[in-house]
Amino acid sequence: MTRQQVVIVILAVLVIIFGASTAYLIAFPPTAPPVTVTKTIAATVTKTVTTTETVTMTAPPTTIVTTMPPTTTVTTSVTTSVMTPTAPVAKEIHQWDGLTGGDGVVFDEIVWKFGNATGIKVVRTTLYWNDLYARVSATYKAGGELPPVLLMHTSEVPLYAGTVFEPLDDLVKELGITKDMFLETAWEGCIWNGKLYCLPWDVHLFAIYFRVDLAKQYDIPVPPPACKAYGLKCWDKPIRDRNDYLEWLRLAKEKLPPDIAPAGWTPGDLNNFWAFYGFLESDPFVGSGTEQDPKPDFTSPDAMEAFKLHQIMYEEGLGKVFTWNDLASCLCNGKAFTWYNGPWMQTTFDRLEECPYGVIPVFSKAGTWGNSHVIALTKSAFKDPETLEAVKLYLKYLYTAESNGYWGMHAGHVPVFKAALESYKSFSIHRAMFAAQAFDFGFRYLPRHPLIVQVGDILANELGALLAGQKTAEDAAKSTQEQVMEALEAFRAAKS
Amino acid sequence: MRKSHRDALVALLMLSPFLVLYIIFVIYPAIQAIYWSLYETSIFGEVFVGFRNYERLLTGKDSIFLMTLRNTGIYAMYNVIGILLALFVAYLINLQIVNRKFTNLFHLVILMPMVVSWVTLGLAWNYAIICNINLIKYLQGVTIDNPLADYILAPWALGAIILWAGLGYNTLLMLSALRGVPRVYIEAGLIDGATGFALFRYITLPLLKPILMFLTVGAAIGAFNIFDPVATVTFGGPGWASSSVTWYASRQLLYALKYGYASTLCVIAIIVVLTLSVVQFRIFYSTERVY
Repeated sequence: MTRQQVVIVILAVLVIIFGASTAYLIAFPPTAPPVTVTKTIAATVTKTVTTTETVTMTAPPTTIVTTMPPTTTVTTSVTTSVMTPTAPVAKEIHQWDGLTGGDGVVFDEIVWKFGNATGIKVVRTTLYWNDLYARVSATYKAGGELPPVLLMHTSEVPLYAGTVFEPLDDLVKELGITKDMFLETAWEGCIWNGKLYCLPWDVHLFAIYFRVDLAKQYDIPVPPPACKAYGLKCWDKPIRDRNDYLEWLRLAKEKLPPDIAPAGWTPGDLNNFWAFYGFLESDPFVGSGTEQDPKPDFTSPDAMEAFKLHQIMYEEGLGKVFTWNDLASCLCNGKAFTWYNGPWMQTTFDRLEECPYGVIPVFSKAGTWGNSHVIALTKSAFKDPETLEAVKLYLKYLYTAESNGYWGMHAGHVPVFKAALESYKSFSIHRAMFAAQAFDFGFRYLPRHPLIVQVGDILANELGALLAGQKTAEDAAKSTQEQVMEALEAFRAAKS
Repeated sequence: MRKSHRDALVALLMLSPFLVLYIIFVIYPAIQAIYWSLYETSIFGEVFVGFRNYERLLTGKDSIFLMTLRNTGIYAMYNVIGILLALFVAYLINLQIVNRKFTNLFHLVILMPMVVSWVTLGLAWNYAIICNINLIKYLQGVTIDNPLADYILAPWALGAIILWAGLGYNTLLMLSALRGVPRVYIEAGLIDGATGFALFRYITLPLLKPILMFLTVGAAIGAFNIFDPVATVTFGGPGWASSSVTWYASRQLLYALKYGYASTLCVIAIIVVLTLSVVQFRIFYSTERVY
């Protein structure tokens, strides 16, 4: 070949590599393109002129849906009374939240309906959760003005109660919202130092997602009650603790081919920390202390067993690390049999074409990790009467069986309003399984301490290293203990 | 007023818009970062701890920081490889053997990754890797693990993506450097009987040395500033396996709400980058430069 020909070939190869790769990245969709499920919501708005504010909502018709192929049309009839304010109201209220996923779309629908009913626009600013916490903290520290409404988590109550969150005891009395309307655990999660600092919006907790088609194909028995719900062969017992979990995964591994992992895990993110709590029977962060004054012990026998479980998962090939995007593509398009994660994934899986997933409730001995979205108000909500009136209407609208139930059914989280639970359970088998996790199997909140997010970050990375075979259980436990103690000492010094 | 003073005042006035913004958005935050780096912080308050944060970082007590330094070394190495690769490609184009239309097409194609934002590139690369793994499994029946989920391979895979994205820009720089080499030296070499590689090694390369050194130091500085690719492709994961120093600092700020420690990381990054910048400055204005 002449020199000219060599140069042409080399440049042509580079053009092909660059051109093809860039064009491919831009033009080709991912393997599991999300498919929008068509939902037709027939909203009948009935004008009701009244001198007092009334909210009458009928629960939508219940529909049992096992899968949601892309062409399913879900029709929901909503009869909404126009909520006529009796006092001047602000035309707009601002809300910050972190609902960046499919559940954010559902919340958009809820605020849209509120806007239609009242003429008040709820302007949502949605950030990633950690950006949101940082922004709220920075705004507070700088003396800036926060929006009237924040949608956050129960785990943030210790951090923000009395600083960012305003007490709501008098307001809820005025609105007629009472404790017995809610799940008790969720209500209690909003109480700090004897005052109510938020209203719970839902409960989200971990359960095990699994591929129904793989269970059928490889004849893998599934623990009850999921086996009955999905019409599968039953394992002889439910998964009540970590030993049952390992035993079932080993059984699955025997039946699955080598290229399908019994359990999929994401590497080093907070989900691993949350999953960790399901494997514990005590609380290693609180230890022998209290929530307000913890005495962490991540080297306790119970914690060591939970760390060792992760080591065993790696050593026996029971768990494999995948990226989040991989697992969100219907459990790596079948490369993982199970994924221990939260109810928010339902909105993603429901929208994927042919994602035959199921849900198994687990860990009845101590319960899985749980948290709640909560609605909290800041000083801005009380700054003037018009804003306060608008916020009151908003809360009255949200805390109804219809709104809370709609949220649960379409976003996947378990509603905390007792009146909304039946519609949630009957919406789909998957929702029914999450309801079983919440009420029959159990969940628990993380210890309510401002440092818990930082502890979670420490643990998430140690567990990620364990799952990848980078550390032993003993090293991970020791390292976790050292880092948590250092963080706690710094926190105590700063607080004093 | 003397003319020189008046001229200086006029110059200052002309520069003032830039200077004001520079002080507000660069100098003042840097001073604040130095200040906060001496504190242990949380939402409840700050405690003065002196140089304890620096001691923790510089004595190797923070294993995550050590990992980010290792990753920075990997990304700097990829940047340097990118420069050498860009030199090779630019040299081929500069030979002017292929016709102009093809050269223009080549420029267009190789620069395309540069005009796409890292948000798009990161998401697209994530899915592309998953797609290709599935495609290989479908076609060949071979299962390949996702390198972005592997603790050892993740930083190397990310470095390769960064090299791919930056190759076009480096090639342009190299091409302009090559075209700046005075033709008379090449012709003198040809007259003396030098050909091909000898021409490149004894004439072109020495003349390119200053720009190469400049870009290499720039590559090291760039490696310290890598944030977008980490944030969009791997989120620093798995665990901290592909994290850069700036990513780690952002996590300390946003996740742990420890802006004191995040400031310490940033100050150390500033010191390293300043040192490298001084080196780069000296190279560029070195008296050893031939032209």
